Amino acid sequence: MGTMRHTQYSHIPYPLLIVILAMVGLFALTQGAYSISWKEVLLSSINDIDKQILMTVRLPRLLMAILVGAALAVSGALMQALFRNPLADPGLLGVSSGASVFVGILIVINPFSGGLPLWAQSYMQSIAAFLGAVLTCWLIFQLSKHKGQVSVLHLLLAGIAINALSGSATGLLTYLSNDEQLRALTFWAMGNLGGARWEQVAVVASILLPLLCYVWRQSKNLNLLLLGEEEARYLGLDVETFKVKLIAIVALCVGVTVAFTGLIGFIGLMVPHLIRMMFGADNRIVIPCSALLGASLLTSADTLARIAVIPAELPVGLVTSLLGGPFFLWLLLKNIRATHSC
Amino acid sequence: MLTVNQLSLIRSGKPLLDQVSLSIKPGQLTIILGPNGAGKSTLLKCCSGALHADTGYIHLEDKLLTDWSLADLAKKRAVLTQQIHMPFTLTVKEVVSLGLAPWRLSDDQANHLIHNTLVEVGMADAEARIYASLSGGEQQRIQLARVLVQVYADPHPQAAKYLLLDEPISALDLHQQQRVLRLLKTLTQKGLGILCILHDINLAALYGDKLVLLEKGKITFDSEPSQLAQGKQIETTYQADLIRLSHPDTQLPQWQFKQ
Repeated sequence: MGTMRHTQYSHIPYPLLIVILAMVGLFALTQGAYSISWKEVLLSSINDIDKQILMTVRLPRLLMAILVGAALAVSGALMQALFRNPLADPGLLGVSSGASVFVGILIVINPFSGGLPLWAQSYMQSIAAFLGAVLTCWLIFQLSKHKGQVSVLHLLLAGIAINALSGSATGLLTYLSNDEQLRALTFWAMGNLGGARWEQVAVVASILLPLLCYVWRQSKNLNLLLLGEEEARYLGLDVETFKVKLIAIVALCVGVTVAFTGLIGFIGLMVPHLIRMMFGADNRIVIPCSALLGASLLTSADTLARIAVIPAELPVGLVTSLLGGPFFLWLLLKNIRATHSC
Repeated sequence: MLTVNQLSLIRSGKPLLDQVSLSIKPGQLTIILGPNGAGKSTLLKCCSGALHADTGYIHLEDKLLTDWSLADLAKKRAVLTQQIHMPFTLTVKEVVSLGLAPWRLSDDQANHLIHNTLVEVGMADAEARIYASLSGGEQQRIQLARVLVQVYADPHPQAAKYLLLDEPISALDLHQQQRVLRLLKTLTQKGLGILCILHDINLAALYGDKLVLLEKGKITFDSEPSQLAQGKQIETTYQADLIRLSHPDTQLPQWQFKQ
């Protein structure tokens, strides 16, 4: 860690990140098994087939990637502020897998057996995932709290335990499910944006956009949490209520993204960390910038997943894990070294 | 005025505070002294509203402390806890600006206030430095600056304000200890009421307007430092072999080890 803030980018975070997102987005729209010229897209002089592909497949998928990427990155930043630890991440701590177990149960038990319209099923999955995420968030918080402080050790151990438990629960569900359910489960569990349609984009946007705006407005209070809960109270923040709100928001964000796109890991860990390295740790910058960079990162990962093995497709969760695993190890080693040198 | 009335607090069978009464007046530097585990920090936490006692009352001005909202309390008093670790790479300026959370200031006003306060604690050139990279003593002065801007930012400075400080000079060198204690003294002359925990009895006697001696949760002395020039309160409370001297300039009592 440097002793002075490296400020070469810090005056231009938004233009830089918006340009990156625009370029990545344009690339995502034009590349794939079927190529579309980017000039045509920019000049909107595209032919009917291209237009069909863009409007029914690629544009909703791009919007889904942007929304989900932003939500995952922001939930990561929220959990890091909540636990006062840069290693907190919804995937690593088991919130995502906790949510996925509940969706799995819904898919396998299927209490409404297809009698519902698609949008209602989508909401049902979101609710199930939300409940799963709330439950795991609460569990992690209880398990990792020690004398009023959240201990990293307990935090990561709780994450391992919950991930293992969810893994076996998902295994059990796989065992119980019939062929059709099994396919739905496997397809969904690996993390995939391929199913994104306009209806689903609308549902996801209706939930995530208000949440993201709310979090942005709360970024000043998130900064207070960085001082510690006691100090934040002395500065006038009702910490207990605020924490409950944050947990609910993380659970909703993770729940919705898990319900629609399955398990996509490490975005919440990588993005806020990169933003802090480039622009500093002030949450008034970290939150909106994480949303932009998270959107870009997931869009890139999804594009890579689409074009790596044409005509087949990789699950995007696989791509983010391939990127994120080594990143996490690097972060962990760096943290251990920093602790030892103190 | 902040008045503590017959406060008692028992945790797991052990009385942490036992019938404690004291008052913190605006314009006075009240210093709490006492051996380790005497209940100093517990008393400070009660006064700041973080801990609720089992019996007894605390009044801030004419209202019960528990009836104050968190937001109003944040505008009335600021609290400095012992060393604060910050896991993220916030700059010094960002840390100090957190003290402005209860208030609405323009960017210009905020920058001005933060700069002036950092000058006061002797960290003027540190604004852009990363808090976590500073030494313990520097971090302590930055946190003090954060607490100070919280009381400075009031647009109506005539309203009485309180500072509650838990060992604000524990990590400072001699020069900085003197700077901070002189600063606290100046602030009381401007009307602030300050409650401060110190470990150094000599500094406490030299700077305090009032000393409160705490032993096993009980107050054994509560008066001006000069009152300690007779009696054996310090020796018996700390159970140490001491010689009492008199400060050449102020005639206030000072203590030295008998070796």
